[in-house]
This record gives sequence, C-alpha cells and structure tokens, in this order.
Amino acid sequence: MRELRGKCNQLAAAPILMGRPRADLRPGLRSHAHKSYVIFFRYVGDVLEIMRVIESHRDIPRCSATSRRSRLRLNSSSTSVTPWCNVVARASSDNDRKLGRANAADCKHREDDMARKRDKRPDDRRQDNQQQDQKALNRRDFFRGGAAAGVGVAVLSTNAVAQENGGIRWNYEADVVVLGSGCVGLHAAVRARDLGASVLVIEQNFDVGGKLVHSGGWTSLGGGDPIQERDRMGTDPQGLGLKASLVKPEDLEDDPDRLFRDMTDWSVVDATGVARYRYNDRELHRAWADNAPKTRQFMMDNYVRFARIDGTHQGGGMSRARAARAMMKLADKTDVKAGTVSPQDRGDPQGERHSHFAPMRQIPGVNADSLGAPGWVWGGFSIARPMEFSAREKGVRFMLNRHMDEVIRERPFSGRVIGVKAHYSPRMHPETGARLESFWQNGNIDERAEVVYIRARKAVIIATGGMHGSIPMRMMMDPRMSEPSIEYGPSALIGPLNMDGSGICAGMRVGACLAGMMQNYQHSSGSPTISSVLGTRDTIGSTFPGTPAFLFARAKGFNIGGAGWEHVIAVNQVGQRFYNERTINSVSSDAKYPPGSDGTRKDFVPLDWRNASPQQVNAQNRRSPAIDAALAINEGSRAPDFASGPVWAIFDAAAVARGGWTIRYPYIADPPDGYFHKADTIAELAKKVMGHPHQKMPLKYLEKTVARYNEMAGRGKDEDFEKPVLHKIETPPFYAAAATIRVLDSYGGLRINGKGQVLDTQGQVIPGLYSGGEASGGGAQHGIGRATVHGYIAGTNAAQEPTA
Amino acid sequence: MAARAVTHGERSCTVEVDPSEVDAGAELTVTVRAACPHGCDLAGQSVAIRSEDGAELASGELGELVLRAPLEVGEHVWRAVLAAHEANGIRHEEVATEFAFVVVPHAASVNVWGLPPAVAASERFSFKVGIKCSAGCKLAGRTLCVLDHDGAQVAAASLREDVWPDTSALYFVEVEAQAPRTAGDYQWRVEAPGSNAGAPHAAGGCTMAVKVVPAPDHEVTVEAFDSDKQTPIKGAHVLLHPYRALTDERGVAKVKVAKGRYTLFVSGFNYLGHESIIEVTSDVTARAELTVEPEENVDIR
Repeated sequence: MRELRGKCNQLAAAPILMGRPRADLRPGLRSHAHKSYVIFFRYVGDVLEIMRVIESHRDIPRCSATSRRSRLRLNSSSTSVTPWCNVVARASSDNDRKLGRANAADCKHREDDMARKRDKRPDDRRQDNQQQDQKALNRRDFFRGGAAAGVGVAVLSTNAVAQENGGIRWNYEADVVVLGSGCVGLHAAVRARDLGASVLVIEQNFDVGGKLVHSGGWTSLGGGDPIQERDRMGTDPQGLGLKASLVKPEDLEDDPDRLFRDMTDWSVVDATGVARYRYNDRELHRAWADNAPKTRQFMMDNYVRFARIDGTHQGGGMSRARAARAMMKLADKTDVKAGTVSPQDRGDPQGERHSHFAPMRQIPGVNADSLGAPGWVWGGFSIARPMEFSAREKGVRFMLNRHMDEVIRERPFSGRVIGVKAHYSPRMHPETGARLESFWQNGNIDERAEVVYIRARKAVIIATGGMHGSIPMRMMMDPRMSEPSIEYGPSALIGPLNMDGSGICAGMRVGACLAGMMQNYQHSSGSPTISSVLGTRDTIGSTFPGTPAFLFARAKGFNIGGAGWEHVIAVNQVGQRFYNERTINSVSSDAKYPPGSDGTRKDFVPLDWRNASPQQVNAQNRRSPAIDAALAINEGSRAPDFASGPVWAIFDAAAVARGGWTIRYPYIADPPDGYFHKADTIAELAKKVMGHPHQKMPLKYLEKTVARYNEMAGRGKDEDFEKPVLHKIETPPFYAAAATIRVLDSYGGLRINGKGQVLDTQGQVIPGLYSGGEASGGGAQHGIGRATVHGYIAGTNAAQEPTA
Repeated sequence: MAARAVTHGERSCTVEVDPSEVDAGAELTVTVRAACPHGCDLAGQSVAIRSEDGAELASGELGELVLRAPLEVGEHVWRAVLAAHEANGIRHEEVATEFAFVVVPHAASVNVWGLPPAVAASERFSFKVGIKCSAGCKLAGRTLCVLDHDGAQVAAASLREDVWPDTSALYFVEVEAQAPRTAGDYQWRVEAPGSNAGAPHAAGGCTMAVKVVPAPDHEVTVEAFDSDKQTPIKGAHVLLHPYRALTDERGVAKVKVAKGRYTLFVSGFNYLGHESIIEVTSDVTARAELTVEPEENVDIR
C-alpha cells in the first residue's frame, strides 16, 4: 500500500500528463501499470484523482465502445478490483468470490463516494493505526470482556474461531444487527435489546445519533399517548416542574383510530395543493397509529423527558395536538438518568458555541420556558443522548466508523438475510489528522479491519436513512436532483456517507421492492429549496464551533430570512438573475394541527371535501417555482449532467448595514472556503467565485446584471422579474454569498409492511430483513415521530424472529 | 573507463502562461512541461525563461515559475529553455520553446454610490466616486471629472489619500454638483483620464443616472407597526418611488414628495412587505401594519 501511495504521489507530482489515455473506458481516464497493479486516474484541474486500482500484472487492453461494459465485467470477476480508498484484504475478496458477487457494483458505489470526497487526500481517510482509544474495545478486548459479559454479541476472529456459513467467514455475530444509529436505529436497538436480543449497531459515522441529534426533538406521536394524557389532565406526574398545559383538553383527546384516520385523510391538502395524507400507505399507518402511544411510553422509559404539547409536527395530523419537544434540565452537570445537561454540554447561545453532546441545528439547546418547562432546554440531543445512554447501559454494542456495504442473504434472491458486510469508514480531523471519536465510548467495538462480515442470527434492520447523498439514487425519486451542488444532510455532522442510499441499495440487491417514490418529489422538505442561510456549505447543520461538525462546515452562515432577499439579487452560475428574489424563499410545509396553519381550512372537518375544494387549494398554495428557475439549464450547463451550478446572493455594504447581518467568523469561514467572497468592485467579485467547488466559471454576466438591476432600481420598476422593491447594489465592498440549494428529508425507499419487514417485488416478506424511517417508503410523514415508531416496531419484531 | 552517454531524441516542451493578457508589471505564471520520447523521468530538470533579447529572467525546475510582466504594453515573445542534461548515461540536448503573451495597461474600474434617489431641481447634491486599479495601484491624487448630459464638466475632484472602508484599494472622493433646473432623468458621466505614472494606466469611466424631480409639495408620514404586537418597527424601509426613507425608533418615516399618486411599499427585515396606493394631495399619514414572516422550516428543526 505504501508503495502504491508513493506511486500515486509521483503521478500527481509529475509536471506532464502521465500514463496512457483510456478514453475507451471513460473520457479523461488514464491508466498506469505499476508492478502487479494498474492505477486508473484522471486529472481534474490541478488534482489527480485516483479512480481505481486493479490487481493485475497487465493493463486492461483497449476495448471498443461496444465491448466496454463486458470487458470491465470480465476483469472485475477475474481480478480484485478496488477503489483506492478501500483496498480490500484478501480474506474479503475470498468471501466475495464465495458469495459469487462481482465487486464492480460495489466499487462503483464507493467510487461515487470518492467523487464526493475528491477534495480530500486519500491518505487522510486512511486509518490511523497508531491511535488506539483505550475507552473503546478492540476485537481482542471484546472477545475477552464484551461477549463474556453476557451481551451475546460474539466476535469470531478470522484467525481463531472462524465460522463457516455458506462459505463466509463471519467476524462478528449478534441476534439483531442494526444498520445506522439515528432515530430508527437507536429505538430499534433498545427495543430489541429490551426483548432479550443481543444487538450490534453498525454506524458509518464516528458518533451515534444521525440526524436525530441535531434535530429539534419535536416528537409528534399521539393516539392518546401518555404525554397527551398528562397534558389533557394538566398534571406533572414525573415532577418536571411543568406549568399549565398549552393546549385545550379537548384538543388532546385522542386514540389510535382517530390518529389513523387523520394520517389517511384524503381531504387535507398542503401548501402545494397535494393531498399528502391520502398517499400514506394504509397498512403502515395503521401500525404506526397503533404503536405511537407505546413508543411514547418506551421513550419515557429510556430517560426521554417531554415539555408540554404545543401543536403537531407537520404530517402529524390535523385534528389533534400531538407534538412535544424533548428536553433536558439545565444543571451543574450532565446526568442523563436525572434528565440534566450542563451548560457546557448544552452549548452557549450567546457565546456562539455548540457542543459535542448537542450538535444541534441553529440555536444550541433552546430555552423551554415557553413550552411550560422553565429551566429546561429542548433539542434532538434530548432524545438521542438519553436513548444512546440507555442503549449502552443495557448492553447494546456499537461498531462506529463502519459503513454497511452489503446485506447478505442465503441465496441472492431467496432465503433468510443472514448478515452484512461493512467497511471501515473513519472520519479524520481535517487539521490534526486524528480519528474523530464518539462522545461516549463504553460499549464501542473498536474494529479497524478494512472489511468485516457480521452475522445476524435473527435479523438485520436497515436504518441507514435516505438517499440524497447518491445522485443516481435521488434521481430515481426526482430528476431535478441531478444537480451536484445540492446540499443534503446534515453532511458536516454525519459525514460524506450520510444519506448515501446504501441501505436502500443493499435491500434492492437482495430483492427488495421500493415504495412511495413520488412522495419525495411532492414533499416540501423532500424537494430542493434555496436557503436563506448564506455563505456556508452547511445550511442544514448551521452550527457554531464546539461540535466536530463545525470542522467540516467551516462556517455557520448568516440568515437573511425571506425579507432579506429584497436587499440582494440571486444569480446563477453565469451571473444572471432567474426569478423575483422576494419570493425565492417561499416557505411551505405540510398540513397539520391546528387547522388554519399554513393556509389550511380553518373550519376544518375531517374527510370533508371542502378542505380540498378548488378554491381552498388555490387560496393556500404558496409554492414558489423559484427553485425550478434556479435549477434550469443556463449557459454554464454542460453535458452530460447539464448542471445549473450554485446560486449566489449578490449584495453590497449598504445591504449589510440595513440588515445588520453579521459577516465575520464563525458566520463565514476563516480562512475562506469558497462559499463567501468580498471584492472592491463587481468585476473582481465575478472572478472570485471560482473558489466554490461547484462553480465552473466566473460570473460572466454579473457586471451587466448589476448594471441593469441598478438602472431598474432607479426607474423604480423591475421589468425582468417584477420584484416590488429594488435597492441599488452600488456601495463597496461587494459580496457574493452562496445561497445553497438544499434538501432536508428523503421520502421513498424500501417497501415494508406493518411489522417493518422488507417486502420483495412479489410482495413477499424477505425473512430476517427490517427497515423504517427514511430508508423505507410508503409515507409522507416528516420527522422523528415517524422514525421513533418505525424503530420501535422493527425492534419489536426483529427480536422475535427465530434464531438461525 | 566511463561508458559513453546515449543521446535521446529532442524533448518535447509545452508552455502555458496565465494570464495570457496581463497588466503591465503584474505577476504572471509560466508553467513548463516536458517529455522525453523514451519516457525518461524529467522531474527536477531545470528550465530558464529568457526575454526577447536573450536575457535570463528566471530559472527553476520544470513546473510553475512566477515572473513579473514587463511595463511595455503590447505582445511579448519569450522562450523557455531546457538546458542540456546528462545523467545515468543518458543525455538530453538543449531545447527551447517560444511563448507569447500580451501586456496591457492597468484598467480603472470606476464606481459611483451614495447618489440621492431623487434630487430637487437646481438643488446641490453630493455622491461618492471610487476608482480601483486592476493591479491594485495606489491612486491617491488621481483626478476625475463629472460631465453632464450635454458633456459639460459640472464637477472635478482628486482621489483622497485613504481607501474606502473595508476595501483593499478602492480610492475615493466625495463630489458635489448641482442638479439641472428641469425635472427629468439625466445620464451623467464620470471620467478618469489615463496615466503613465509608475505603470501605464488606461482611462476609465462610468455613467450615473441623476433623477431630478420638482420641488416637493407635501409631507407623507408613514408609521410602521408590528401587526401582532402593535409595536413600532424601527428601520423599516419606506418607498414611494423615487422617494425612500427609513423609519425611526418610533416606527415613523417622513418623506417630502411632489403631489401625485404613489404605491407605498413598506418592508422590514423578518416581516412580510406592505403595499398600498396613496394619493398625495396634502400632507398625509399612512399606517403600515407588517406581519412577521414565517421562520424558515421552523418545523423541520
């Protein structure tokens, strides 16, 4: 490996084009044979990008266009084809051969990952073999202590007690293997453990919590759940010091039947005119409604505390209040059992600091006074950390820094699911190069082998989240998503493999069917929008320093809000305006309680056609096609993807003064990261934007665009886009801030039944395979309400599977 | 006895210049790449850059060399020379490649700001003019003039010693002028002549739109309030085109306007905008109640 790395560095340092052109395989590709390897690479600007390394004594012969695919396949099966970042040990290749699987698809998948990570050096992603975290367990420690302690997760050393099963050498085994430690994964893991199963959670990130830990923790359940009942009675049985209920008792009277009816009410339309509840899979939502009250109790049994109910989360139904914020109480020290969080772990809203414990979006640990809980703070960490704490306390084991690549079934499309293959995926500190570590380490299995095979005696639960990190997969749901600059996330927090669709893809490879594909296209939080948080690549995370996520985000960004767009112009990658900026940020969310919010019919009657009369639909429609204009082909769009490129907000010093925008670190990056630029003149500004990773050319028309805009401002009329109020952009210095196009949620995924079992294309259960949350499809419901219950259901049923 | 060196064929040499059109005296990057027909590793071999008259301007290893462009404007043809090189019994002969680039005078980017959106006829008004040299040269003292719509000079000034706040090299001056006597839209022009002081500088200029309005007749008082809290909104922007103002801490803005029919726009940060029509025939007060805009994706958090 060292020698190969050295050779690659030589190729990169060479002043001339090295290797031989291999346009026969891919435009721009070159190959260079070195001893028993062939290195495939390409030049991207000044960067030499290693595409693949093939173990072969001879280069692949040139092939014609028609035979290209078949030749690559031939080579894939006859040699060990691996991407540079993950050269697989021979034992793994042996397993692959025994499984009869060609590595090509696997490599392509990881190659896509490589493309996303191309601005990082391959060496930076390699494991640091010197670093050992003493708090975590390595394989030997685990064998001595972890398994012996009775948790039932076993290590099966490849050298010592190799176990054969269908020819596979398993490295670990557990009753239930959970893929992902976000909202679904954590709840499934704890629930399965509660029912006596040994549980091993595989997480590609360095820490537990997924999107849940950065969320607002607003959990919409209902069906007469214990918190609804508590608030309906106006009591405080846990002694949390709660004030009076915030919602009328009659709006808290609920039961699973009412919840189910709400979740499938055809007549409710959202702000885009879509009857979203209508398209919820009835079997799934019947099960969801039946399990919602139990899930609330389950969360409370695992140290999660809730404030008073203050509404219903979008997609949580129209007729009853069902959502409460999870919270922790501010105290001297963090004590999950007592429900307390220290100021340090909460973060400092005034001091512009987040924390590793609570890497929450936007504001660190928000004060819960207005939610009837004085002295408490709310946020997703108030679910993620207690559930994680409880999981570790109960003996759930975590193998972090490990990405699931493949779900293994007895036979390619039949038989039980028996395990998974996963590769090492550490994240390194971008400055020190040290491996990032989880907040808690007890119960971690510190396995650093490139690839391990993990046997699941009962079931595998796919809780890997959505697919927006994979352009090919997200295009299955929404063809607009071809644009590579679209942010999804929160990537800085969860890493480049976040939402990569690997769980969905792995399910498909063993025969799973997909469901709810159209819901991603329809959903406001599943569709791309233009962020008003400017100047950062991480508008979804939008964190201050103090959390490891900030190391990758580099800037929090500054929020100009919808009104701020009056003071800026938005231009595409060639510097041309494309829409009335004042409507660029039209907010629309799902229909929810109370009726009247988001434009819905105020005198709402369930299942009444008037809720969806044409007049009502037209009156509440708030969709802005600005995003479609932003994603339109422009002069800079080039084949094959015709990418529209980033959107830039252009403004001047006068706008900054009017808006009081804070333009300094940590709101913008220092040193600059290409997402925010300042210049003395507009001409200079147009050239500077080239630092953005997706900007392919200077803002060619920016000078003309600004001149025309100023001219129209002088005339008092926007003849191009009818923006009502125009402010001249004339006072130096001038600014260009990336207005990131982003997508939050992922809808559409593996088809599951009411038990969380994954179904195949014939509608048959794939034995031993479960899923939920954003990895699954069939529901347009947003948020942790959906995911918590899915985790609870999957954990319940997976634990009851027969042991193989 | 030492073995005789084998001479390989002529090395091929390619040269890239960035930028190909460069400001006089500014930096330019010359990238020299070479290859041996026998595939020898040429890394580390030296290259020299020579001017038209053969003077060596720079030397170094193959790759990027940063040089300074000459001050003479026009096309220049230089040469990259790879010296003869012998190592490990292999000899490469000297080879030279010509490359060309164009030196241009420094461009002046002229900018006008702070011009009142509307100026009453015959009124004196002021505005700021800034000039930035494309090479970032100090421009203090450089003269400029303002020409009216007929080409007559109406003002002249010299750039100040300091640069405009928060800029790297934008030299500026505040200029005063008198508006035309008749209401209307006028195109004036600011011109900065060229100069050869230090390095050649091209002339620069830009147009400026001067909107001249009749003397105001009445005063419009606009009160901006939060519709929910009924509290005044400070800093709300009031537009009765072409007149503009900001509200004070009492939420009030006063605008003197000519009589007529206006569309009143009132907008504030974090508020949805207000729009109404007002007919100004006397002093008038308008109240604008603004609604707080929905927070972006508040549910998603």
